[in-house]
Amino acid sequence: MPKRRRRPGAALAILIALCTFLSGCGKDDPQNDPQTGVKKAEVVRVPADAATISAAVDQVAEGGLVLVAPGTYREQVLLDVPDVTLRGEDRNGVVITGEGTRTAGVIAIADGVRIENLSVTDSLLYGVLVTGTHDGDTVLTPAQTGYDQFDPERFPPLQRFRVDHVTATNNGLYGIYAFNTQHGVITDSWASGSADSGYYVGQCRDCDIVVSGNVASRNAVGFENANASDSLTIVGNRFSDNRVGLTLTSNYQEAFVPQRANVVIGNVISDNAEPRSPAQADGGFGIGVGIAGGQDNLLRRNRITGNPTAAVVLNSSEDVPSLRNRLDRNSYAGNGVDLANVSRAAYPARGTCLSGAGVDVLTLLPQGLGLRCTTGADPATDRVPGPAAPEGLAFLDVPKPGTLPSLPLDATIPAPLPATIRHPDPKRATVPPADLLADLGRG
Amino acid sequence: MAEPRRLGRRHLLAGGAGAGIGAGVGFALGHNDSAPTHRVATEPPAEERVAVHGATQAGVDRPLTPATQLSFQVWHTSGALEAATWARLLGTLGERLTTLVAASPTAARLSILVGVGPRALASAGLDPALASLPTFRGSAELPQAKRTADLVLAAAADLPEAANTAMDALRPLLTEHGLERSWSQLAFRARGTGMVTHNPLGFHDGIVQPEKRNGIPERVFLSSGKLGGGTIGVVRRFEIDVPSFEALPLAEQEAVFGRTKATGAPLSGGSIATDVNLTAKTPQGEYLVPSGSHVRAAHPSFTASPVMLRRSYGFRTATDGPQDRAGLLFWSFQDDVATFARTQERMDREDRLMEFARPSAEAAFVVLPGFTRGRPLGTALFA
Repeated sequence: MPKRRRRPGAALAILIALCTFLSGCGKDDPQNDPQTGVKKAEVVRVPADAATISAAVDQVAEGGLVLVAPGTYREQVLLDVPDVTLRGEDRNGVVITGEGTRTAGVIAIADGVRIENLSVTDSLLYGVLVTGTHDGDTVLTPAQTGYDQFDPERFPPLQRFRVDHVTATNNGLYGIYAFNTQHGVITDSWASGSADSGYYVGQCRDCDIVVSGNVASRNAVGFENANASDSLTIVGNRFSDNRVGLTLTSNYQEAFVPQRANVVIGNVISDNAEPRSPAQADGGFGIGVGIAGGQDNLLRRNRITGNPTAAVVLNSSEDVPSLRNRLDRNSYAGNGVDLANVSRAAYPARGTCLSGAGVDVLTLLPQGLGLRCTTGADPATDRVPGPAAPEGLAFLDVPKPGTLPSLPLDATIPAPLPATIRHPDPKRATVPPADLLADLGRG
Repeated sequence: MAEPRRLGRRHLLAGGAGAGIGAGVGFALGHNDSAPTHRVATEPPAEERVAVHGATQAGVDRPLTPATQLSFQVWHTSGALEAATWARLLGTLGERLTTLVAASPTAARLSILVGVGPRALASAGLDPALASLPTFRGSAELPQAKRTADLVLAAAADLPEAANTAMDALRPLLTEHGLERSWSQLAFRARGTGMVTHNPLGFHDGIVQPEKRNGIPERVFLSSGKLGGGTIGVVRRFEIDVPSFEALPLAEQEAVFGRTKATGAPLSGGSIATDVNLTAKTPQGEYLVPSGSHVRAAHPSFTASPVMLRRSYGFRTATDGPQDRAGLLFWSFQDDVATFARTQERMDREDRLMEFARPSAEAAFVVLPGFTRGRPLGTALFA
């Protein structure tokens, strides 16, 4: 049985905060409370068995279930027990709030965790953060200063996670954030009011992650990827009414440059020009998909419409060019332009390839972009005209969604998460209807 | 990634009820006391002269606090010199500057640094690209003599005439070998604290410097080969449009730098010793350290670069014409010229400060490895 990674010597703020609630700090036997000797519980109910979610996490056995009754939970939860499921009884009624003062709603640092059927809101940085970059109790966040970089060998990626039916609203950086992780899914969730992105998958190779059935709305960016490569499939989501819908980027502030080989299929990426959202800090607005230093990505059978600057914009990221990105059989309509390339001359995009019926009638900036599908440098332009970005709305002020679909009440402990994720076959992707997931959050 | 990645003291706690990374958002600034910081090193007043001999030359990382006055000169040979000629010239130069420093007042803290340019590297059988710059914004308009150097001499001292007199004394040796001076700059900097001083626009300068390991700044000196103990120097001289900058409201000036003018603290909060937080945003989603600010544009993390050792000087030349000429002699040391080049290219693209700066001369050069009586200056390359 894997040992819980707690270091008694690490006198850290998060530990102190947790220890005020109960006696269970620095346990030797992970399945027993060191003071009472009581065996840890398979199921811990909040508030019936533990007053807070954090207290429940300290009581629950590995592989167990923390089941949370409706209520507002004013705490930051550190989920550090392997294979535990944190489940709300009611997605809309179980609300973990950062009250605009705490860093995060839920931070998961143990393998095999599930977070499902609850809401996280009003955190300064993260609604849900799942990360392998931690030192037992110390969670490290990338790119805060950047003078030190993150060693992927010292911090192996967190293995196996599932974020499902989570509502992440009004968080100051990211709604749902998987950093340095592998073999996970983010499904059927909602993110709005994020001052950076609603969803973020970053820094992994052979990620083996599926992001599906989610909605991102009224965020600066809907979904963001920096340096997450290979087996990352983004399928059947709705990234609409943000400032920018989706970005695939290489970023030297994190490990594993360049970003490459994502599969983006069957998504609706529409109307990303939403004024009731925080500003995108680099001024982005009206863009469906932004690829900066992204390589070998496949965007197939997405519906990319109503983005007044551009459906897809290619750029270089520092000295990393965008290479061999394939745009196959997407449906475009009502965009400022359908494809633009603003890569710097020194680091030109190459091999950008449009395919499918009707690519000859797309609006391309400059003309001919993406039609040759050869390895030569793609033509580029200096800038893409588009509407000016309106002032940002404070993230805590962004309107919340209405009631969202909740999972049925379920007190059973699920089987451990699988070692690998099944990905949909890109060959079988279809262009989704324009109203995919559009009814969510309105009521 | 090829480079070793190290996790230093700047790691951040999750939690802590709004402290720590809670500082990542604007209105949490009041909690920023626990934000990561860097050291500001200081040293006591000089009680002895700056050591001339050693594994490295004086004037790069010793003295720790740069002397206040600088005489910087770029020289060119009339044709390519042979290795033996370089060896004789540099060896004699080393002897003479040793004598000059020994004869200078202790209080002068005189140091004299010698570098050579790409043609000399070629004579030594080394790759001239080690000390070659790409074409930056504004560089193409410069005459060739102001874009490259064959020999660089830099005398720094706290007593102005100590530096100037030393340079005068070395001049005949160079002219005897057929070298001509292409450009020269007298410059100054406030003594400041450690490496930190004020630049000609009134903002703090040189705040973040390389970490040291065993007393040696990381990624500054070359560690092996013919150039072991040497370093790559880059100087760019900028005319600075001080009046236009000073005409900006204070808040705009601070947005250009990304720091406060009064204290040097980053706009993400804390004190001058607090590391800049590049992801910190206002509640409305704008960076606290704005896009286009110098701090953001020049930050090494965006280009995965090490921190350059920087000891820049300002200048202002009083003339009889309508207006004085103000400027900055930017000066950095690194173990790879690409470190500087990547950063400058990014600044050319993104740094609003560059709107107030126009290059008037530049040079990349190899600061020769240190020398001793038994191992004359230049021996490592030309003997």
